Amino acid sequence: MIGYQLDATAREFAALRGRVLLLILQVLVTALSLVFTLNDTVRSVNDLTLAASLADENVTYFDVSYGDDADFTLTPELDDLLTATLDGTTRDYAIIKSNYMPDTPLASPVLVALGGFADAYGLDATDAPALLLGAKVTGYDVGATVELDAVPYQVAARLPAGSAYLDPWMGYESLDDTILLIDTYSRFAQHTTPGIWQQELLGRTVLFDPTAAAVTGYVDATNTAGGMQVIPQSLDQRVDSVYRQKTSKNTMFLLFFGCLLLVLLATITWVLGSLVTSNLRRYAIERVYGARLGHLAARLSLFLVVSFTAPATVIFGFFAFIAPHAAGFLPVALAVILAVHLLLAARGMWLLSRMNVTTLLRTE
Amino acid sequence: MAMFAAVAMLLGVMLTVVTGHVTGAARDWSDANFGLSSRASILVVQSGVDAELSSTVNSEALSLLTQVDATVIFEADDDGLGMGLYDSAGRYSAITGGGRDWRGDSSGSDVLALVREGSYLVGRESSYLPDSVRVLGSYDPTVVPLSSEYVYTLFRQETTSGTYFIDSADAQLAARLAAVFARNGYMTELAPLEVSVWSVIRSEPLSYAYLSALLLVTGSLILLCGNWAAQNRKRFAIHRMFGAHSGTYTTYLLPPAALAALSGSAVGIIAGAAALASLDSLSELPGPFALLIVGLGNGIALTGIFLATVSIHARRQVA
Repeated sequence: MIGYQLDATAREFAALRGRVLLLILQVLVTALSLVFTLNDTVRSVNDLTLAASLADENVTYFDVSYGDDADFTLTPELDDLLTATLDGTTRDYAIIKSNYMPDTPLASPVLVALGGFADAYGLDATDAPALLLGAKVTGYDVGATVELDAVPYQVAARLPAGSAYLDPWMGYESLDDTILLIDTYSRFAQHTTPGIWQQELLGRTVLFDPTAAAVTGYVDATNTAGGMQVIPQSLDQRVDSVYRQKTSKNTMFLLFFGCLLLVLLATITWVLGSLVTSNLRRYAIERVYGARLGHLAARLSLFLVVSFTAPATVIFGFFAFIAPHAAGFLPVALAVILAVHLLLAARGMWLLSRMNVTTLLRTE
Repeated sequence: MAMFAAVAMLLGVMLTVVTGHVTGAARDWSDANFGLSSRASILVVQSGVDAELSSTVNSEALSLLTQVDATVIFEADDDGLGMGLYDSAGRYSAITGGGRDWRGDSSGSDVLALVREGSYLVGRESSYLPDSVRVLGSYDPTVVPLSSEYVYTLFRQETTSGTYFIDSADAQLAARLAAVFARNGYMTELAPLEVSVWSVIRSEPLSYAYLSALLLVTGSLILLCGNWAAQNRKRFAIHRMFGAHSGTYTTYLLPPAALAALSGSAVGIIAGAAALASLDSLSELPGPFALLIVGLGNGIALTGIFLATVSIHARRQVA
């Protein structure tokens, strides 16, 4: 019986091929756009939330301009300043994301955070150095020893899932897939081969509620090291100019695709209605030969699965993995898709249940 | 017709969002190019082995520029703080006050500068700016699309290598300026700035999503109109029997279709504009004239699509 229903559905598709193809295309574009916009929106909201969590203080970071022909040299004055800034008890921190241990074969990226990073983001790492694993890092476990630049570190703990930090240059950054080393500047510098990480560190420093003199001192010391120029920036300004604007753009996009979704639903409803009404006489004959409403419901469901439910589910399911920030919406999206499927099928069945076999089989 | 009006409303909202998107993209693009006009050019200058001193080049460049009105902006390769400005066209007179120094014809030789309001340089100019720079005051970055830490009078600076943005009514000025640098031993690369609607659309990936979605909605609209015509096929057949033809349908359906499309479109435009205004992006709200054009265009286009689709279907049904 299911073979017959499949065959009949295929014939109905063939009869409505133009409309069904348009429908499938619309479902694909809408689902795809929604997944990516949701991903971007969640990311923007995360940026704002995380920035707001730091906003009780004036947060200063630095834009970096390379291009000075002079070679970079970590002067003793700069070394002292970094020690004072990143070994103290404040929340000031600096991070090294790249250019560190390029030859160390680790499965997960290493983030080195020097200074008060743990305090700034409420991480449980009281003693430095502390090596922490992101929630999704595999291959190591608590207590294991990991060697970074020939220095062995014991994994102290695993970070809670969803741990993140705000990279003023990149926005919200998840720590779930990251190996995080929290240390003081002086201890890390003592054990690590001098390299380009020193220059990166200077450009990735974040100061909490610094005095004007502290900012000037930092800029002066960094600029005299050569090879780079740093320009202090306020996180508040960045939040206004970048993150809020991005959220607005995404909201506009969601509004647009919300409307498209409504047009899509109207189209599906009309195409389904058109399918049912144009096949009423056939359905009536099948009813005469013993088909029950359940069989016809199965055929309507097959039609809906191919034209709407399957494309939408595949797109949401597949891209939820590619766009991790949208993954949280997958259960909701699946529930909505299922609900729409059921509502549309119910409408089709309502139309079918109203058919009068005698009237339909009477010649016009 | 209620369905048609509802779709017109949804399309009205969507088109308002798209207009807001294009307005915002055009503004971002313009800001990124310092608000220069579409005729502007970009000249990249690199120092060659036999490059002359900057004073020689500056002098020749100024001689050339005194002959025409122009705006030239300079970003030096090794300076992330300042931006050189020559403005005999008065484009940035809101901050320069149309002063002679910004036209490069002052008798003085100092590099004059305005520091951006809110910059960390304010009050610390002597520590960060070269000794040759004399600070005149500050400028308000909200009135001009210049976001560097400070702007200084161009063609008195010591650095020549970098990127020049040249905007002038004289189409040959950029090429002649490039020739000045080349003659003095610099390597040059000249390209148009290309500020056009198409380049704005191309610069924003979201534009493609908007465009493809609008095309799909148009397809849906044709489908829905066709379905409406199919539902009314018996009525059309009866009309035909009593002498109706394609033109009759157009005359008969035009008033209700136009009313539904225009009213739906108007409601959609107002709702879309209200939604945009409630966002944190008031500057991306299109102007009333643009919204009026979009609303009328949407209404007229939808009426046309409806009448054409119904007319074709009605003729087929009768046949």
